[in-house]
Formats: sequence, C-alpha cells, structure tokens
Amino acid sequence: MPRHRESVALLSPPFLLGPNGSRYMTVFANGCNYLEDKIRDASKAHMPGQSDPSAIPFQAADRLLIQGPSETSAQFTARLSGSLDAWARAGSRYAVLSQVQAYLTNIFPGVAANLPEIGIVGGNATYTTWDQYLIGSALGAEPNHVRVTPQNWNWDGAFHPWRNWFIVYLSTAPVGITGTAATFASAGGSGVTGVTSGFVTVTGMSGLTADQVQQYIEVGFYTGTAIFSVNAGSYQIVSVLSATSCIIAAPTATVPDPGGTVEWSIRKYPYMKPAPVCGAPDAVCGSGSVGVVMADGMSAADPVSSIRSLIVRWKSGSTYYQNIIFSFGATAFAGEFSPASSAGAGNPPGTWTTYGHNVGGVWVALRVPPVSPFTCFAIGTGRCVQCSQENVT
Amino acid sequence: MTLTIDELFQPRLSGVGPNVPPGGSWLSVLITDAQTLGLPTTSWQPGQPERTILSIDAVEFSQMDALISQIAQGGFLDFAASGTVTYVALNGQTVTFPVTPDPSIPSQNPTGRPGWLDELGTSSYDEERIPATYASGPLSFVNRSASTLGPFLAGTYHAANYLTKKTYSNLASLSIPPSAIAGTGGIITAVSVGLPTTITTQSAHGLALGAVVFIDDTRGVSGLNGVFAQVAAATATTIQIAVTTAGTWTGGGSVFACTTATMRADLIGPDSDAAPGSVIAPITQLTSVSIFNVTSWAGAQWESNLAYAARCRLKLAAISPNGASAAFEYVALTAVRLLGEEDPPITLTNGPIISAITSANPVTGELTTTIASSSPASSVLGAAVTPGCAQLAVTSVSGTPCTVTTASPHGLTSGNVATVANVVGVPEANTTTTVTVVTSTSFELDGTTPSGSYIGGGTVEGGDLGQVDRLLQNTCVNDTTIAFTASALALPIAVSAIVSVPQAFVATYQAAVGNALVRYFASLPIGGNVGVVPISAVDGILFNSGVVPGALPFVQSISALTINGVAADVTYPTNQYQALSGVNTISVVGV
Repeated sequence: MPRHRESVALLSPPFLLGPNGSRYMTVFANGCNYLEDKIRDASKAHMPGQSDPSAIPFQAADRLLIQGPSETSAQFTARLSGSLDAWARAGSRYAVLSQVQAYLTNIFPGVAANLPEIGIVGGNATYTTWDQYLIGSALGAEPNHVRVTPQNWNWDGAFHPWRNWFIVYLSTAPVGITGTAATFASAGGSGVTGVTSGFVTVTGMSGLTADQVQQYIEVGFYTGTAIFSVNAGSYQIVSVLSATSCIIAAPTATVPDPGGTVEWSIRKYPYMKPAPVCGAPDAVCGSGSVGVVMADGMSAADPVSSIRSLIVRWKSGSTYYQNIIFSFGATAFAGEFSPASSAGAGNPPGTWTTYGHNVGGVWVALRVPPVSPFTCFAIGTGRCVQCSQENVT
Repeated sequence: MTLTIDELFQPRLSGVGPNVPPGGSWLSVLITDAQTLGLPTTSWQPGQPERTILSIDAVEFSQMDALISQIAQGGFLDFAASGTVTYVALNGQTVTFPVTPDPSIPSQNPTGRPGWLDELGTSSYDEERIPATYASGPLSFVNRSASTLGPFLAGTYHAANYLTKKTYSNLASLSIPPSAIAGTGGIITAVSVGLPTTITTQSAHGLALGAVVFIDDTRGVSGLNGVFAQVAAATATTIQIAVTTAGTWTGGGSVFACTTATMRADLIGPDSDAAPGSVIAPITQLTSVSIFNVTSWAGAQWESNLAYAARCRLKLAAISPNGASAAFEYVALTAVRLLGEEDPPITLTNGPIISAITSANPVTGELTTTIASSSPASSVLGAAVTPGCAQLAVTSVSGTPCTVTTASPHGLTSGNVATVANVVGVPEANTTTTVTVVTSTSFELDGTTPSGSYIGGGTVEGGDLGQVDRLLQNTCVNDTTIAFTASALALPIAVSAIVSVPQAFVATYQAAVGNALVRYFASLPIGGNVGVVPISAVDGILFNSGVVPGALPFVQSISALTINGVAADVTYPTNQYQALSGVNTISVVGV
C-alpha cells in the first residue's frame, strides 16, 4: 500500500506537480503519513511487544503484573504476553513464588541467572512442605517441592495448614577488597556519644573507603592457617576510620582475638540489606522496613511492601502468610530456614511469636542463634483494621 | 519508531486562530514543514489560499488526532474508563469529552450506549458491563366493584409514584376481579389492636400468608381503615397484619383480598425507586379501584466505568481453579449476570452486588466473602445490607408444600428464591424455588409436594445472600477451602451542613448534592479505606457538587458540617460495615 506521499503524487493533476504544487501536496501527505503511523501505534499501544516501552506500565496495570526494579523491559514484556498463563495458576505457591522470582530478577549479581533464592514453607503437625527457588532455578520453573516428615517447621506450637511463611534468602557478594592480617584491636563504642560497647575497632586492613559503611567484613581463618577464628563470621561495618581501620558491630566478639590476625574480605548485599544496627552513627530508630533497607543504587521503593502485595495478590484466598522473612544468614548461618534443617536448629522450634518467645518463663528475643541476628521478620499478609482479631486477605 | 504513550494520548491542537499558531500545533507543524520544503510561507498573508488550505488541513488533522487519542486510551482499562480527550471544535471552542461516556452518570450517557471500555471489556476480558435495571415489584389492587376490570395487556395499565411522579406499567396481562371475599369471610367480627393487629372474620377468609389485604369501614379503631397490608399470620378466621392500631373496635369493617400484579418502571435506573406506599396514584383511572405497593421497588444504575474496569481485572484471578481472593470478589460482583444466565434465571431482588471483600481467619483458615447489594435491604445500623441466609441448617421439613424449618432466622421474604440441599427423607425439598415465608424460622417451598418424611440434614441457600454463596461455592471454592458469604452491615451516614451558593445555582446544587453523596458512600469499600468515613472527603463532595464543567466552582461556603451529628470522621464499627447515605440535611442558602 503506497504511502500518502506517493499516492498524492499519483492523484495530483499537472498543475499540482509543479515545484510549489508538489511541495504543497507533500506537506499534506506528510501530515497524513504521521496520522497513519499514529493510528497504527494507537491500535497497538495496549499490545505487549508491539508498542513503545512507555506503554509498559499501562499494559502491566491491565494485567495486574508488577515490573521488578531490575527486570528489563524485554523480560517484563515477555511476562506481560504470558499473563493469562500466570493467572491460570493464581492461588498456588507456584504462582506466588514465580511472581516474586520475576519481580526480583537481576538483583543478585553473580548468582546464576540473576534470580533470587526464595521459598514458602508451611504444613501441619505431621509434615512440613517446602517450595523453593534456589540458585540455578530457571525463571518460571516449577519450584523445588519437598515434603519433610516428621515436620521440621514449628513456629509457635500451632499447626495450621493454611498458614505459610515466605522466605527471601539474601546473600552477600564480594566487593573485591580482601586481606590476610586484620586485627580485632579494641572493643568499645561506635563513635556515637553514649554508645560505649557492642562495637569493635578492626585494624590492619587496606583499601577501605567510606563506601564500605553498611557493608560487611567476612572473617574466616587465622592468617595463613586453616583454623577458623573464634570471631569467624559476618559483621556490619558502621564506620570507616581510615583506609586500614574500621568499626564493626560485634557485641559478642572476643577482643583481642587470641589467635592473632585473621583473613578477611568485604562483601555487600546487592539488593536489600540490613538496616544500620542500633548505635551505629547513621542508625535511625525505626528506619527501614522491619530492619531492611535498599542497597546502594537500588530503587527506594519499599521492598517489603512490594513483596507483600505480590503475595496478597497471588496467594489463595484462604491462605495466611504469617511472616515474610528476610534471611541474612546464608553465609555465616548455613542451614537457616532450610528443609534440611530441623526445628530448633536452623528452623523455628515451636516457641516463636511475633516479638519474642518464652523459654522457661523467661522472655527472650525472637532472633536467637542459630539464626542470623540480622534476619528480619516482616509481618506477612495480615492486616488489623479496627478488629480485635487480626484479619488477613 | 513507535510513538510514546504521551504522544498517542495527547492530540495536537489545530493551532488555527487569530494568533501565531502555538508550537506543536498542527498548523505550526504544517507551516514548518512547508518552510523546510522551500515554500514561501513568510510571505503568506492571513486569508491567502495557501494558508487557508493549510488551516483547514490543520483542523481536520486535529480532529483525526482526537480520534486517535481515543483509540489509544481506549486500549487501556483505566484510560478507557476515565480518560478524556480535548480538541478545538470548528467553532473555535475547546471541547473535552470522555473516552467512554459513563452510563452510571446519566448526564454523560443517558442511554447506556457502549463505548471504548465496553469494547475492551468484551473483547479482551469477555466481560460485559452490568446493565441498569428497572425498579419493579408487586402492586396491590383493591376492586370494590362487583365487576372484573380488564384485562389490561402488558404495558397498558399505568400508575405513578405520588412523590417522584415516576410512572410504572404492568409486565403481564392484568385482570382485576372484585376483591370482596365470598360469603361472610370478609366481614370483621373483632379487632385486637396494637402491633401487630389481629382481625377476626365471621367465617373462613381463605387468605394465605403473604397475601395483601385491604381493610376499611371499621369503627372505633384508628390506623386501620384504608390500609393495605400483608398477612403475617393467619388461622381460618383470623389474620394478623403488621399495622399499628389503637382504640376499641365498636363494629363494622371488611377485609378485601387484593389482586397483585408485577409492575415495572417505565424508565430504567434507580431514579424510579419507590418506597413502600408511594405508588398510589393510578394513571389508568378505574372506578372503585385503589392501588398500593407494600414493598419497596428498586432499580440499579448502570455499572460505572471504574467498577467495570476493576471487575475486568478481577476476572483474571477467576481463570484459576485455586481460589485467589480476587476470584471470589469477581464472582460476587458478577453474580447478577451469572445467576441470570442459569436455567431458570435467578434474579437478585436487591440488585447487583456492588461491593465485595474477602478475609481469611488465621485461626480457622475460613474464608469469608462479605458482600453489599446495590439496593440495601436495610439502612438500620448493623442490619444486613444483602438479605437472605447462607448455608443455614435445616432442622425439619413437613407439610405440603414442603415447609422448611431452619436452625436460626432465615431472613427471607416471600418470593425470594431458596436452594435447599442435602435434606434426607424428603427428596422434593432438595430444590431451587421461590418461597412463601411462614415464620422467621420457617418457609414453604412453592410448588413442592413431599413424598417422604424428614430424616435429617439439609442446608438453605436463601435470598440474594444464599444465591451468591451458592455461586461462590460452585465456582471458586476448592476442595480444601472452607468459605462463607456474609452480608455487609449497614452504616447509615447522615450529613448535615449549610452550603452557600449564588441564588441562581440553588436548584442546580440541590439536584446535584444528594446524588453525589449517595455515589460517594456507595464507592467506599466495605470497612472503608482507612476504617473511617472522612469528614474532609464529605466536605470535598459538598464543594465539588458546585462544580460545573468549564466554569469556576460556585460554592461560596460550607458551614456547620457534621456526619451523624459530629463534626469529625465517622469510624466504621468493624470492617464488615458498608456506608450508606442516610437522611441528609443540606441547607442550601442562595446569596
């Protein structure tokens, strides 16, 4: 089909084919061409893959899908095209996991396929069912389903098959700064007036800059040995004093380390990270969402709310998610929230509540070893609106 | 290169006018193009043919551009529902029109003509807009002559609401026989006053429960003569009616058995709603005949653009068998259509379900869908908005027709549809049919004849609530879910305020503000957005009711604003409540 410029030329009588006439008709034809293109684009604007990327948010709104903060337009467009297939699974664990997996795409540099590790756990007094996407799980693949007998997930002693927990396993990635001879030099404050304990000054390092604040020092073997330091673990850096020294949050560290210097490396959480610990120079009481904040360079959108809204939308109507757990224990606390662990050793022992638990009449904090002290427990799909009993959607 | 959404949604204006065409306008683009091609545009004078023709082109192109904007916006639910297009008409006036004129706003789309949103909904979501319905209900006739009047073919008998002047016509052929009860069955021999009132007749009256009677000519009793009422209880020679009377009967009086016919409003929508006792003005004049509607009649407005778009999205979840919350909400909100497609079709007596939310009990795992009807069954605080019963246990079945007794009050009224299931011993009771109410905990299943004796079991899905629950159980609930349907509870909201507007706008404002408040309260979800009816929002409604498109707001002041007597937000008692517009007192002062 000829464009208007050609068709106008074909239709024009001789007096419009002269220099000015043809120019004049070209102006008209150009306008027609523009309108024709615009009609075509307008007709396709709602079609994923057939339109300008600026249409993607609107296409998403009509399909009730949410683009992840690091999900590319091409990846998301493919999801938009397959939205009916996704909705055909709504109400299943598969649907919840696959939506959150897609939403969190590309947030873990260095992890296979850049996909997150996430899982759902629940069950009854006899067995626990786990559905997980682990490292290497393909986008949209069926989750790894495991049924463990006897049960290995006992939150508070009550077993409700309709109650689940959603777990986001967060891992640190190396930033390329390592060393072999750090020293746990002195215990004391964080540098904040009035904070006099719970922190340790580490010296003997190299290459530190202000960027390392809120990153983590990973302590392993004693220098030149295969023996783990008594202080082996992962510690939040709260202040960088110089290129060779910093202050870390380490309330239970042994200072000085009786084994001498230690091998170390700096790592960071690429997507979500624990909020600054209390007493750190930039800690603000109640900052972040349940102790989780976005990592440097990531969208400031509340990640907890985003994940919660995905769960609410895609779960079955009668299912209740007690908590969304952000597990920061993958490195130092291997086995934290795992189908391979048992209740009381990596998994809840049956005494946990929302804010803590009662052990022999003594109220103790919820997050006790072997769970990472940074691991956070956001409220799940519950909401409490003017009712005495927590209501859920 | 494809155009961006902004470029597609925003049409270029023509730019034609007395001034230099603004940048980006069609005339500006065409002149720039002409300059680029070497035409002597700078020497063109206003009125010269070349410039005039380009101006005509610009106007035509801009109108085409407006259509393209409509096409582009019409592909997306939100923009199809609430988007607008602005262009300059041939007369130079700036015109803004909705992408889809909203049929729930009669001034935008009085005939319910389908628009872009309807095309999108039906083509992409296979979902049609829920249409408006006619206010309809039974009209009672008392014929005190000795002759049968009629027949009146369907649509030929007419009556009016004496308050609203809305008119109604008969749906089926109508004959009105004499209402006098044969023999002495209609002669009153005693009246026990009070509430209810009990009337004794000289001999068997032959009246059934639910029948409408007309009482007249008694002496000594106030509140009884000229009254139409339904028989609430009866023996062979007595009837009980829910009418408050006083005094002492001293003699006289007759009971008439009324003829009842279904009437329907001549105009669709809620404007023709009729309160009980308001349709008493016959247009078709018949000697010796009086008329009366003993129940309220309600019609529903067209589903709004926003509600229709939201329901299309909810439908996505309904394609899964796994019972996502949105699936329950979609089915409840679409129940009026889904039930209407059953064989035989079932009508929701209180109109479409306009609001639905789901909530799961974390302790029991039970899922409850709370629903609200477009025509609330009651506006009394805490009363059910959607009438009926869901999964109510049957305790016995006896008699002919089958009389079902329930474990607790069923909330049904005669004429409601009920589905009884799982009754053992009386298979004929397991059916879907209309009911005639006997007591608050029993009802007859119309047209049934039992063949056995009740052994046990049975549940009732009755009225609008029960039918929606039955639908949800059959379409959304998987085999591991326990789900219930509950009615939202009425939270009446009465607004009082003094609003000052220019004298010329008093009538305009009075006409607008009432409907605006009704629409606003109906738009609040069950339980509210944040658990309150915000007084600031009500203030905004009062102000915006004085906004006329294309003109400055005319409301000059709002004072003494209260909600339910308090100048503060009104809290929802629990999250099961639905805000309903109550009796508002808006004093409009012309200044």
